[in-house]
Amino acid sequence: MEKLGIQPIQLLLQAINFLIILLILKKFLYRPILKMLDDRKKKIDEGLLYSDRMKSEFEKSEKKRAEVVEKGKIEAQKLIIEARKAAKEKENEIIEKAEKEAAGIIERAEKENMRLRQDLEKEIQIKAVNIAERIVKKTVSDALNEKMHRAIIDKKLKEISSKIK
Amino acid sequence: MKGTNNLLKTTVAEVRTPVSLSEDQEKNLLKILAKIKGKDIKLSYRIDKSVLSGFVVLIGDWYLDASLSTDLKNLRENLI
Repeated sequence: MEKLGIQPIQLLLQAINFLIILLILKKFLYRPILKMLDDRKKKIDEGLLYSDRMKSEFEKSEKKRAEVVEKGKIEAQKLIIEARKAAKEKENEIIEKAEKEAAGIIERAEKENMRLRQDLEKEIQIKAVNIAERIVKKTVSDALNEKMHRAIIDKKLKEISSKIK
Repeated sequence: MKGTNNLLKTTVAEVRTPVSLSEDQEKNLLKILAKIKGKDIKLSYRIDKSVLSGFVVLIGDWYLDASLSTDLKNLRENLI
């Protein structure tokens, strides 16, 4: 060992020194550091646990949210279908009502048209008869001579006689 | 009383016609009126062109219408 330049006494002293330093470090440095590391580990474990719990909660919450969303979608779909159905019914109702009103208007218009036509026909008929009456009166008045008048009077007398017999 | 000749106790009938009646026609008319009214009738004539033809007899409120104007009027009413 001496050939290698190593002094056994010095080596021993250094070994003792090292042991003393090791004991001192263990007493005053390693323990607090280990304690600190242990505390940190606990905190990390707690954090991880909390994180897991939060993750689980989050997953539950997500699942619930998804269910709510899905339920909401179904409800919304139902509402849309019902709204469409109601709108269709309302549309049919409006169309039916409009068709009835239109039919009523057409019927009234046709009746009014018919009435106006009948009134007009009646008016024309009255005018035509009045004109015909005037023509007949004028023609008869101009055409009948005394002999014809007497013939008519004879005919009238015969008619009356036959009635009162 | 209107249409009655008090002195002769006969009823006077007004005959409206466009021409005067012949004797035969007058006799026939008197016969008819006597039958209808049940008494003697005396005729008074009035030439009325509005009768057109035929005759109308008036005795008070009563009348016998055998005029062409009334025939025409009836025909008119039937047409309208």
